[in-house]
Amino acid sequence: MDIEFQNVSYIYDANTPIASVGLKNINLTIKQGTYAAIIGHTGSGKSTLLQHLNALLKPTTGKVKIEDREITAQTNNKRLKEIRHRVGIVFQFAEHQLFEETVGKDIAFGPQNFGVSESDSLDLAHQMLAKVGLSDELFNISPFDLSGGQMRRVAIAGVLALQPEVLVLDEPTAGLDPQSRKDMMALFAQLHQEQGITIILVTHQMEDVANFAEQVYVLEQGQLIRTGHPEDVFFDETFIQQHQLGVPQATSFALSLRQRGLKLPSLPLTEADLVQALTTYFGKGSVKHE
Amino acid sequence: MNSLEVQNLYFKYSSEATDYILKDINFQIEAGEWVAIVGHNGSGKSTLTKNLNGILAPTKGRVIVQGVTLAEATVWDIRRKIGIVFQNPDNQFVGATVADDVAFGLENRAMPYAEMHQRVHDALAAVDMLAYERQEPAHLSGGQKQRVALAGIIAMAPDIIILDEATSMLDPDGRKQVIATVQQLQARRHNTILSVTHDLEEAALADRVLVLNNGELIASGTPSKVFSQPKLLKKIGLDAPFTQRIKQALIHQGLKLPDGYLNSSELIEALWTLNSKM
Repeated sequence: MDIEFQNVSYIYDANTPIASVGLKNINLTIKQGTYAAIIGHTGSGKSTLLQHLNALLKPTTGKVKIEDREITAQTNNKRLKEIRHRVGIVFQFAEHQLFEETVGKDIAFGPQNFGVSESDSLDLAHQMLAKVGLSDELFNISPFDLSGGQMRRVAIAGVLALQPEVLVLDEPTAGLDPQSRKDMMALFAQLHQEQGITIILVTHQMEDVANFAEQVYVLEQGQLIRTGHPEDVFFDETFIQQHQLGVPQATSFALSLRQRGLKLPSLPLTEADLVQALTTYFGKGSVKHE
Repeated sequence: MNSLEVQNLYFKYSSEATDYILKDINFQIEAGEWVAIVGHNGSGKSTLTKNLNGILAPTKGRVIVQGVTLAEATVWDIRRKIGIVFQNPDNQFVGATVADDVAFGLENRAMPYAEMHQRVHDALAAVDMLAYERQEPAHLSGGQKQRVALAGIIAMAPDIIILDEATSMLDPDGRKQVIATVQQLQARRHNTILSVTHDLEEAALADRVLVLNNGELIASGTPSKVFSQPKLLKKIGLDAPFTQRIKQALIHQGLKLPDGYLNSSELIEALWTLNSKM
């Protein structure tokens, strides 16, 4: 299902003396099956935008279209359940939301809330636990006896158990060690490839944007200031400098090399691109190793 | 005299537990040294930190802070010598304004108003947050919050500052701000710094790195020594730093680059040298 924002503005505490702008006239379309990334500085409106994706917030003006449902300021809070079933949001530090006695019950809570029977939801929980790469032995233990990385996975399994068509991820790997980070990003890529789930990733990790996203949306002070493929955005040096955005490490390293005098013909987005570019530059790599 | 010393430390949460969470940990940190402890999530890093200032008590072994063994009778004195900045910036605020928050620890010690005022002022200046003195902490960015948390510690003037994953929840900008502040503290105030982290770019700035895996110290040395062991790092889920990964891949492709860990500017120079020889 496609998601479309039409002239969406959101004002916090509207009509009060402390009113402040959260989003300003946002227009965007995220097509079904896209891997999208939303980037921008702290306070740029990323989280506000994210909460519009399943009507946790409703636009002050303008409308959000989620497939054929239109959400406006006037939309009644009833009948939003279906949207919340189909658009799953994994919030920052999702492990803070765990509450059940056992891992299994925690994962099954969401589906049960949406009317799935107890036994079906527990079956689902077993499947989702495997999907996030955790052993079934953890099913009956307390989620609070797990490590931080494992707790994060359980929380994600809970959202996946709703079998959403759109998965919204707010800084899903913050605070995780490098290996857990890689595993988790691989899991999302797999869900995207195998099941065609739309992924909307909010992140500060430009490497993840470079490695996975097909489309980037850049927010600044509540406004959408750029949309494009990661290359279009990250290779636009003037734009990046003007808005003080980070770029992937590989891109930044290549830029420093250019500054030092190395005439690299093209810029890399990922580490593999960088190694390839340097290998070609130095005329090596014709001999295939391994 | 060592600033901090850990001797044969073992720890488990309950006496019935069969496995120790920390096993035979031994290390010393000199005054003014910056040591990074690295390890994956669940390797025992935070448990170790909590053993250092008596939040947890070692099951066996000793923690010695500036020559004094940590025990029930000494814990309050020792806590004055060690300040900890924790991971989550939002969990460490109590004051209504930035200045109130920094003053909190000093008020607890019943410090006279004039001295307290001066200390808060100096601490906020040290982390470059003086302009935000009257702001609500909730309105700051993550990096600013952690700098205020750091100011709260600086105001107490401990000799040892422990950063327990203090940058892992920050965006790249916030991380840079906090690290730069810590570097200044080490240089100007000669604080002993112990940073517990899984960010190897951060650990690369330390004088020495200790590697913790499954509750055991399995390696230690300068960052360049530890980071030139990519297999070891990979095995324990840490991956090598960016420049090391790139350098290894290039060597694999047949480029002649120097051994050992190179930071970003060193690798750029090495590639530049290679370029000049072409």
